[in-house]
Amino acid sequence: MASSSAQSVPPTSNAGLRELSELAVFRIEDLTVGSVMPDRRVGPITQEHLIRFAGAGGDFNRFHYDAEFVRSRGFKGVFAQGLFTAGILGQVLSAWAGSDMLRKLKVRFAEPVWLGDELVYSAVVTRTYTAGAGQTWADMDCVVTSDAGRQVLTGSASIGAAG
Amino acid sequence: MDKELWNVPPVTFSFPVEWGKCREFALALLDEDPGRPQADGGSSPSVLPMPPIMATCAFRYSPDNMPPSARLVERGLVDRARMLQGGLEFEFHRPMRSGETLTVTDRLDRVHDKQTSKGTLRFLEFETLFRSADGELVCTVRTTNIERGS
Repeated sequence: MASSSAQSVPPTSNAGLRELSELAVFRIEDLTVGSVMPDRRVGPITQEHLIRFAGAGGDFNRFHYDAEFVRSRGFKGVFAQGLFTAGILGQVLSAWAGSDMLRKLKVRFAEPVWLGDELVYSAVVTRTYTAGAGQTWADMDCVVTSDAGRQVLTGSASIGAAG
Repeated sequence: MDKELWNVPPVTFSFPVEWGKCREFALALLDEDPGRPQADGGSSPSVLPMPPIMATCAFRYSPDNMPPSARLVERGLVDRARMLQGGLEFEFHRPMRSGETLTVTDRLDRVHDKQTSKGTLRFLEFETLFRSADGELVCTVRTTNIERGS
């Protein structure tokens, strides 16, 4: 999912999503099939990230912080909550397209995200169309890839103004 | 077993979209700008957009503090040890904001089996509906859990 479209805003650094939001100067009407969201790099994922997310969501499943327990269950180590990986996708899309513009999000958890993984969030426009009361919407394929080249999450999203 | 699954009633409860929880979620998702300007011009830090994924944690406000799948586990209808997380799907009919109180209804929506080379997989699809105070449907979440054959 390389950044090849003229509609792509400049590649972002590993800074906060504020920077990504400030770069989002496009109109959805200007997107075409093949337009890409600038890749967003996140990580390396730390134990602190997972504990913080567990606190926010109230899910203290031991797979996400208790290394000894996790290894006793046959895993190589602590892994991230799927909702953490998916949740960042929601924030990245919202930062890029606008916080009110996310209409649909569908995710499939493909592989675990391990502590220390660095993640790259990518999305490409697959379709543009008119929806609702005449607003332009864009469908996107989304993928989260670890620095080891593994696809850890795949999904799709639709962005556009609510009808 | 299928009949018993469908005997588990839907659960309805109130979900206050709290400002502090919206901010906490956004920051936990590495978003440094939870109050970024919104499409309707609203940018007041006193109102925050609800992070999309926060909808999946609404069950924390339910009387039993359980997601719908856990209610089936508690009744012995599904084996937690054989259950996997499948897909997750959101439809945001309009943005949700801090300060509003939504009415949430969780229910089992569909059950179907799939034969595979490794045995039967049972797909349990749950639907969670979020409605505003005036009954407007604002968000639909569909969660799929997969129970592996024993």
